[in-house]
Amino acid sequence: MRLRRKITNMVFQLACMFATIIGLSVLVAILYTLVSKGLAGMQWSLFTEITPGPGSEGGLANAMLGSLIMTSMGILIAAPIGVMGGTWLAEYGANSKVASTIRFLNGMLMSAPSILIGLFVYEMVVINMGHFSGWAGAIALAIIALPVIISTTEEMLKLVPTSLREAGSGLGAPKWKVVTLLGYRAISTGLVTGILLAIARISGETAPLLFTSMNNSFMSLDPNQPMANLPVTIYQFAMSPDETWNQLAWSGALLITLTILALNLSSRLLPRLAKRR
Amino acid sequence: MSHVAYMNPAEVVETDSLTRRMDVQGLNFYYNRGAQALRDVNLPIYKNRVTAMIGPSGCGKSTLLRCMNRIYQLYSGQFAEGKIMLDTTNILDGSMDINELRSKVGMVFQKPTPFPMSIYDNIAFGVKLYDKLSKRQMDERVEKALRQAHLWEEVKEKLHQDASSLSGGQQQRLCIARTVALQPEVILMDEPTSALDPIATQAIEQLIEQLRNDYTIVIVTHNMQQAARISDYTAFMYLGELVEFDETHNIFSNAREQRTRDYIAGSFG
Repeated sequence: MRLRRKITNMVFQLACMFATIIGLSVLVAILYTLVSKGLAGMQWSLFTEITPGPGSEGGLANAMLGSLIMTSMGILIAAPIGVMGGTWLAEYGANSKVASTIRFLNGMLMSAPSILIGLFVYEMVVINMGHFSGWAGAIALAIIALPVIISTTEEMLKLVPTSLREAGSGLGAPKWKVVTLLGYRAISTGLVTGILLAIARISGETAPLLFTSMNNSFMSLDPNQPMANLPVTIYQFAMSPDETWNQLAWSGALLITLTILALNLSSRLLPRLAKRR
Repeated sequence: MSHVAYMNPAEVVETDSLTRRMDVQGLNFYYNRGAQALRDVNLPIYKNRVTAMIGPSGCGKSTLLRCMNRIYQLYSGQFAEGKIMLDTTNILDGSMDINELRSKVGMVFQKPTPFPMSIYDNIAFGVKLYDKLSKRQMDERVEKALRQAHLWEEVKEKLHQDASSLSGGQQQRLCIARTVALQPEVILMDEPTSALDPIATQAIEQLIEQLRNDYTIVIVTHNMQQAARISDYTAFMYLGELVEFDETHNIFSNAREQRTRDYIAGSFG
């Protein structure tokens, strides 16, 4: 009997280990390929030159800058709306029917295929403007970031201790001041973490940009025009037979991965740093 | 009601110096539908006196305290009926703005609750809600409040450090300073020393002794010795009713009610 238990235990442990190894080896293989192929193209010109035409040399400067601009605009749109929405859900909507409905829809939006969001913005913005634009891209990214920020804000506000709220109210502070001056301050690292995670989420998105900002082979800072960006550039360059383009696609992919890694790390380190202070 | 041995206010001998700052009259309190936590409570709160509320857990003493600044209103489903007079206004009838009420009736809680900001800002936070002060006037208000709370000497060099860097006892005195800075009429204290060590407790008790010169204090305490040490009047509550209210020395040495004597003697609670 005891022997049987030991054997069952061992079999199960081995199965778990095996599964872990399979999962990890895929991840390691992807990262290894990415790093080895991406590093080959890592040079200064990547950051200074714009995307080249077929058969010539160049970099990714316009795509990086475009991504940076659209991600920033997207977050600037999504963060205030998301924080306010999350605040409403946590503080005012609470257990009402409307709030539960919004919470449910927010969950759906969070898992909606991003290509749908791209098509939606295409219908609403691109068709009305008559052409692709950086704005359309930023709006699509904002819609993807929004539910992430809403739900992290709500979760964080729920963690604000009752004692802090009562202390604020006990001094005669109206509820909105208790929330904005005390609550936000108590959860500031959590809010920032949520926003960092939202940035990480949208900085690799390709589908919503395909139909909105499209791409631009030139350096353009005008959000009313189509805007270059890393994900769509990678998509286009990786599909082409041109070897220089292929190399740029690998380097771009490595850059995005490193950015997301950095964002995820800082969102984990931030709370620890804040605690130490 | 024969089971309430509370003396009719008219029977309490009032000396010239005693004025009623607050007066609880026929107060009933309910948590949600049906769950009654206070039954027909009548209690005067005298000006510049320390009134202690004692009784076993769940007797309603904190609930009664939480009626006096209507902090219970943060939670839906809780409601009070009856009257609580603050000077000449009934604070339960809604005629007084709730935030104005809370500026006049301050509250110190069981656990120290410093706001996540600097020591200075902890005090300025409440003041800013009511007064627009210049930087210099604000500095003075902060210093005065910290001095009144006997905290100034310990923190004057680090006013702009985070309040969470203070010890528990210091944090509680900061909370008292924060309340005092609003120059309230009444300060409610809900077991303010139950989370503190004996030395910090002693500091708070000495502070209460001095604050009674300027403020009217109501303190809920689990600790009977504390009530005996610091209060002028004591209310003994049991099962949501006010059993007895009298001068503290009478309650502790010469209580009229058997239940009060039993509780003081430690036979229950």
